[in-house]
Order: sequence, then structure tokens, then C-alpha cells
Amino acid sequence: MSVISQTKQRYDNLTIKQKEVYLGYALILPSVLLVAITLVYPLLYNFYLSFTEVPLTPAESPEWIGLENYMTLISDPDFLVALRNTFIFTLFSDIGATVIGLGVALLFTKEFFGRRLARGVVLLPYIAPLIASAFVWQWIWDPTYGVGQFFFADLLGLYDSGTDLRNSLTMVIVFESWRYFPFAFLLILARLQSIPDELYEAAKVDGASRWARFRDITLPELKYVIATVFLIRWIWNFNVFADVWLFTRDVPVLGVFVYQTGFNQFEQGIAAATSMIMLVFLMLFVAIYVTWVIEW
Amino acid sequence: MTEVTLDGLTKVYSDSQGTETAVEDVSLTIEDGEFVVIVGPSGCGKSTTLRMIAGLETVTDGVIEFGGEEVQHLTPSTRDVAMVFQNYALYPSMNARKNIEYGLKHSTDLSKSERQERVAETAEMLDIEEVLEHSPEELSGGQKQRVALGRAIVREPNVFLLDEPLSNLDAKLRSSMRHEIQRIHDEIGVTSIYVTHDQKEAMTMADRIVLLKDGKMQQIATPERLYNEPNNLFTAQFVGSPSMNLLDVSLESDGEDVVVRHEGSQICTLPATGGLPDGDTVTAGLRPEHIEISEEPGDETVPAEVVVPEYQGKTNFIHVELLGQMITVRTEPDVLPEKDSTVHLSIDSANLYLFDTQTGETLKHRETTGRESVRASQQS
Repeated sequence: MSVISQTKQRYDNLTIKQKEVYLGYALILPSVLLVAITLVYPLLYNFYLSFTEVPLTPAESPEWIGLENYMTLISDPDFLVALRNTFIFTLFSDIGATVIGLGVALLFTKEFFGRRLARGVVLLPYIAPLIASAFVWQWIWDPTYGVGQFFFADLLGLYDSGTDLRNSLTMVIVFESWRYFPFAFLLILARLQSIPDELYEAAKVDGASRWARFRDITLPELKYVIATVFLIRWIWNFNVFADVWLFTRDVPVLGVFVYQTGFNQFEQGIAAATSMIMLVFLMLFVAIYVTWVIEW
Repeated sequence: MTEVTLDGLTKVYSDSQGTETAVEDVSLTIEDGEFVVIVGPSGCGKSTTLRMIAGLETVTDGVIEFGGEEVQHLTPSTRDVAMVFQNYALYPSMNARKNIEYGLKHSTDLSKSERQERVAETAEMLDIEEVLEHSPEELSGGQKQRVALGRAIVREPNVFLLDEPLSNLDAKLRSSMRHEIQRIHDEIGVTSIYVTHDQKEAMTMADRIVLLKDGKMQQIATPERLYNEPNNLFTAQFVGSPSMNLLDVSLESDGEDVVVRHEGSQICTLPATGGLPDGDTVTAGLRPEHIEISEEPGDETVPAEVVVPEYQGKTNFIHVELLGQMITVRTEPDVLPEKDSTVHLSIDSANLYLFDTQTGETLKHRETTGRESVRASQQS
């Protein structure tokens, strides 16, 4: 008997339940393979690289140097600056996008003329290509001919004319908050619209003020969606590269640090070690957050 | 002491699609401590009326007075009303205790200990002391309903409003909560307005019933009066279960009596008291419980064919065909004729209602026995 017919024979002898189990495995196999090839293998290989010195030529094998890359990083002031920047950037751009998203979503709970159009407009920052947004922001805040410069410095006198705000961590945070608030807006609005009106009516009859209704009904109902938005944005922001890199070259965050180390200085062992550190920080954050904040 | 008066209360909704009158010129006075039920089919404007009284809906026209004071421009909390909602509307993030306390916290100056005391008293009255620390999602339907009632009672409001509070409960729980609500009303004696689409709830609970149709008030009366002396065909059909049978009949006066004929056959005779149109076609109404059924023909009986004998237990509903018209007869439990058999109906003219076919107005209602009319006149 051939191998194929033997296998078929064996399959036919299985119970329905066993057959279902095998069918299940067969169905997820392609995605498991895909994930293994594109995620698991690179991750493990990266883990290995982080303990080696990677030669420039692919003809030579990486040289095992133990923890040396990690020791170098800990004493590297550039790495520490990038680490600090990343935390500040992640925290504040995440809070910024979520709070703006919540505020705008609240404006949309009331019926008003042109609401559908306004909703579309609000989504624009998120829809517009990153490269276009980054360049437009560069122009807006240009110290010589930027319209932002003209309005806020020349007209309102909020800061000295001629100051270049673009290359600061603060501006990157503002840019990122602006760009991603529609994401928070969309998710929060969906939840807001499903809060039953009766709850607000009951609270009105009970004499609760507008603020009390927001605090006691809206916020508790939004708790999970806000927490989820915050978590997702945290993961994205922590790994950020393109948004910062396209907007300014002067604010190194870890993503930029990895790119520069790995592909400008060709210290790929150190770059690998940096990304392992990022991964550990992220996993720690997610674990703590999910356990104590979201309480899943 | 709060008497509630509605005067010409009207609500018109308008948008780009046009205008819609939800409530039209409703005027009535609810006495202090009275339990009034607003009833009607869906879309009749009963909830809108209640929501206008609560202050959750603006008033297009008309006046709402509490104890002689106009309140239609006031916010819900300054009217000092409490409301129970159909879906309970318990605050999901607060436990039962906090739900009940919430209104006290926001619309009274009571100290924390006074509030706690009031909550404890209310919880005792409603028998929910054990679940006070539970969150709404941990409560059963009946418990949620009690907490929602507690939240309203605890405030000792001027007026107590209930918007279909029992419609989310199963049948058994519904009847026990009905008694509970009546007991609470007897205990606290607050003017209460209760909205339902269920005529049975209205009949069993109300001091007086307000019947609405298409935003217009049809009748306001005690349950007995509504049942015995409906103003019109709609009221007559809405009240009572199964609903009243209708027959197109012609009236012929022979001097002494008025003969009521359906499809040419005499179904009963009325003493000629005058006022009834002679020779005209009118609509006759007969309640299922007012028709007698027997196997043998007698004087003034009409033959009919049994289509569906419906066994119910303590009473049976016999659906019969009377000269091409389906009618329902309610019988004693031991009366259950076979399908397709011929039975004989006797119709007592005292229990016959007559309505104008065109306008639906009542021409003749049931002649009530002494006991019922005494009670009806006492209450109205």
C-alpha cells in the first residue's frame, strides 16, 4: 500500500471528534506558518544577534560576545536620552490623542447641522498620508514663512518670532496627538452612542448636574474603550519610527535610535539589543496595564 | 399635597419630513394621592404625556400644574418628580445602595447619615436589604425593578411617574410586582401616574384610567365605569379580555320593542326607550362574558356553529360563527361544546352595547346592576 492510501485509511478510522480536531489544525496551519516565518523566526534570530557582533559582510558569521552589547547600551548617553524621550513621547502623545478624541466625540453626541460632514472632516488627520502631514506641519511651523509662526508668534505673541519650534519633543507630541486623535474619537464615539438615553434621563430626574452626569454615567461607561485605546496607542507610540523621523531628525526616540545604530553605523548587534530592550519594556507595560488597569 | 392638572397639553414633533402631533389637547386633573393609569395602544402618546409631566420632553402647548403651580418650564429635578423607567435605567457603575442614594445626594441637602437612613428604610420596605451592595448586573429582573422603585420612593417626591415598569418582567413576577406597587402606593400615598399598554394592568391597579388614542384622550373614568359605560367603540374594545364582539345590526321598532337583527335574523329585543335610531344599521357590542351558551334552543336563542372550542381551565373561550360572523363566548369551565357542533346563544339585551357605526359613539351601554353602579359612582 502506498503512503497516501495508508494515511487515508488511518484518517478514515478516526472518530468524528478526532477528525474535527485534525481539520482544525489543518485550517490554522497556513497562518501558523506565516506567523512563524515572519514573526517568530525573526524574533528569535534578533534575540541571538543581540548577543553578537555582526560583521559587515554577510560572508562572515556573527561573533558571540555575550552581554557586551547590553553593557555598552546602559552606559551610552545617547541610548538613555532616546529611552527617556520614548517614555515622555509615548505617555504624552497617548494622553493627548485620547483626551482630544474624547472631547471631540462628546461634541458629536448632540445632533447639529452638518454633523455627518464634520465627522468626515475630523477623520482627515488620520486618513491623510503621513508624509504629507509631516511636510505640511514642517511648513506651518517654519520660522520664516510658516502660517503657525505668523499666527501664534507674530500676531498673538505667544512666543518669540523666529524661534524654530519644529525640532522639539513637545512639537512631536503635539503632531502625534493631532494625527491620532481621530482613532480615539471613532472608538469612543461608537461607545458613547450606545449608552442608553434613559440613564441620562434618570440622572436628570435625580437632579444630577451636567458634570455629575458625565462623571457618573459617561466616564464609567467609557472606561474600557478609553483604556483599550490608550493601550493600543501606547504600543504603537512606543515603537514609533516613521512619524518622528519624517517630522524631525532632532528628536531621537528608540525607534530612530535602532534605525541609526543598525543602518547608519551598522552596529547591528547593538541595534538588536536595543529592540530586545524595547520588547521587554513593552511586554512589562502591557502585563502591568492589563492586570491592574483594565483588570481583564 | 400634590394635585396634578394638565390643561390643553399638546406635543407636536416637527422635522424636515413634516410635523406629527403626538399628544393633542389633553386636559385632566389628578387628585392628590390618586393612582392614575394612562393606557392606550403603542404610539398613542401615553409615554410622551408622562415624559412631559416629568420634564424630559418640552411642551408644545398647554399647561402642567403641580398643586396649582405651573411647572412646564421647570427642569425635572426642580419639579420634584421621581420616575421609574421601563428598562430600570439603573446606573451600571453603582451598586444598588448608591443607585438609590444618588437622587438624595443630588437633589436634597440631607447629610450622609440621614441619606443612609432613608436608603435603609426604603430597602426594608422593598425587601432588598440583602442586595444593596450588589451591582445592577448581579441583580435579577425583579430585584432591578425593586431597586428602581426604591430610587424613586426614597426621594419622597411630589409625583411618582412610572413608565411601563413591568413590561420587562415575566408574567408571574409581573403580577406580584403589580401588587407590590399597589401596596407601596397605599403606604406612601403619593400622587402616581402609571403608563402601560396593558389594559389588564390598568384595570387592576388604577383609581382612574386615562385612555388615549392617537394622542387624544378618549375617556377618563374608574375601571368599572370604563368597562360598563365606555364613551365609544374604541374604549369598549380596548377594555376587557377577550375584547368585545362586534356585529353589524339593524334596529326595527315595532312600537313596544326594538328588534335587533343581524343579517336579517333577530338576535334580541330591547324595550323601546326612545333615542335609538329606527331602521338604521348600527354596531352592536357584546362582551364574551355576557353571552350564554346552551345546547338546546330556547326562547330568543340564536343558533351558531362552534369553530374553535378553546380550553382555558377556570373558564373557556368558545369561538363560534354566528351568521357569517366570528364571535367569542366565555363559558364556565364545564361548558366545552365540540367543534362543528351547533350551539344556541342567548343574548341579554341589558348587556348589549350599541355604537354609531360612523362615529363610534356609544348609543347604548350596558345596564349595570346596583352594586356595580354604586361603586362606580362612589369612585368617579
